[in-house]
Amino acid sequence: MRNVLLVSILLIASMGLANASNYMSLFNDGKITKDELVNTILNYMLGNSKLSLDEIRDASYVYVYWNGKPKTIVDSANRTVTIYKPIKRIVALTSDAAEALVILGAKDKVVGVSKYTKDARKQFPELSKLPSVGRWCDPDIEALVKLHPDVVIAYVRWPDPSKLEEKLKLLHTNITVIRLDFYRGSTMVEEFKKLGYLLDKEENASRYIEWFEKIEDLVKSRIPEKMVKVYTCSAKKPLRAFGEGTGLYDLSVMAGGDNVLKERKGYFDVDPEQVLVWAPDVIIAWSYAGGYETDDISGMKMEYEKIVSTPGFENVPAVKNGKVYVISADLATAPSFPVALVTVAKWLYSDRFDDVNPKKIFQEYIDDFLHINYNVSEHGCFVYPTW
Amino acid sequence: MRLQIHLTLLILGLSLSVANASVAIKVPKIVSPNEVFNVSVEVNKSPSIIIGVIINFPEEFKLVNCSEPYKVSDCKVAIAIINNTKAMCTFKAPSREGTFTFGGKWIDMLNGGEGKLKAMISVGKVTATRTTATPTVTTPTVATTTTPAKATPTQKPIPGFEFATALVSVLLIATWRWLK
Repeated sequence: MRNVLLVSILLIASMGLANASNYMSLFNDGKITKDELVNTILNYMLGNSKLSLDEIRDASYVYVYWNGKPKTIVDSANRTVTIYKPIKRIVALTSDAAEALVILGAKDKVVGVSKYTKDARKQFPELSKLPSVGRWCDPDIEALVKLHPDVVIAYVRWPDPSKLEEKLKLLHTNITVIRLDFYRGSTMVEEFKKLGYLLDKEENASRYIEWFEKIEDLVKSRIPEKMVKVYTCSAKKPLRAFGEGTGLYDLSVMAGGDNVLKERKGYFDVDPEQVLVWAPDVIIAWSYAGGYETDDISGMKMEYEKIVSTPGFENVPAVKNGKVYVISADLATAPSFPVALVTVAKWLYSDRFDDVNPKKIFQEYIDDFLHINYNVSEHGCFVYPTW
Repeated sequence: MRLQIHLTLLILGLSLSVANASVAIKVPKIVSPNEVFNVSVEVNKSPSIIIGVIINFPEEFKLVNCSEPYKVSDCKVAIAIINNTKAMCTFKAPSREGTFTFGGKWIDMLNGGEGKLKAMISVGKVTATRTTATPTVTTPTVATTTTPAKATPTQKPIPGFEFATALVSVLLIATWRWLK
């Protein structure tokens, strides 16, 4: 049965590829010219076209709005991605991409989401009703292909290409994979620019970027010369360090922290003795326990207690001075990053951010960009100790 | 100077629109046998327009040319209207009298709308009471693969107002002299 399904998908996909090559022939000289479009339309109207009406409409759109040329970006995995027709169907393999698509005003283009987004009914009241394509790190390719997406947006590092691009290639689909994180502060602006450009949503992207940079500038302007030392880790496993290239590391550095994990990349385990040697003034831990979907803070509280009671941590300055903080992944490593930025900056330099209310900024973000009926004073768990 | 009956284009077009654009076909209500006349397709939308049009014309009529890129197959002419609000095609009426139908459809390639086109035309004796206007002769912009019908535009001299005015004048003078 499974084989029959695969063969069917393969057949349908190869039919799609044949049609796609007819469409692609319009770009033989690099762009769709007026003569090419005219001939295509005339042939279609006379019933002699190899292209479908949808393809002719796509070609017309490209001719008018893209000056006849395809759109190209370099995604965050440093791969050149070229789009030859307007993107109409998107699978958001990550909740961060789903959030970005909401901000860009493109949620109507989303046809499939990850299991996590499917479960996030409060944060994604509409997208959570869409079909799931499984986990962000190991998607169900058959479910994905059945949704006929034009593009899939995945993280830069996950899933491994063997679980996504290579499987799609085997099925001869013309689905484009775009790898954009939307969880790292250091690449967020560029990623919004790129996706906004591909989706013709530059105006919405600019609005978000303007907000992002306003907060980033505010934080930058208040960072003192003498910076505090920060250690970033998992809240569940305090000895699992989050080094360079991770969203939490970016967050700590952009908030003005002198991260003790400098020049150590990715996620790795450390000894408690090493943490003691680093002597961080502040510990920031990343948690899956909170978020939009729960109002129960006990999970984050338990993680906090686990950090402060980690054997060997009792002499770490951050623990001794009560400067240990847990932050939700939903807030810290997502397009809501600027809210996390002021939150962490205030943790690091509370005297310099007395006048800043991160919770109020978060509510503005929810109202202005996510457009959901969600009161952050009444719902969700995003930081511990609480705001 | 040749006499010529001029026609007022009457809007007889029927347009069924499902999107922002609306497209109408306009043909003269009546033309003389063998007369060369214009059929226009007008788009009520701006600024970006890409409309595909197909006009099914009666087999007795001959297409002369169109102002926009076009292609002919039997009694069908396809027209591509790009960033323009009007396409005009010149036809030659048949020698026999009768009432004929111009049908067809249009598709908005940018916004997804489409609709039908239908207009009636009569070929017969043109009365002198009609308002006159000069038929527009347009320069065709033909697509490279266009195969226009091999019809030569001809304009048939038809008696008009000048003749009628002269006749009335002669009759008036004759009546005035007879009364005297």
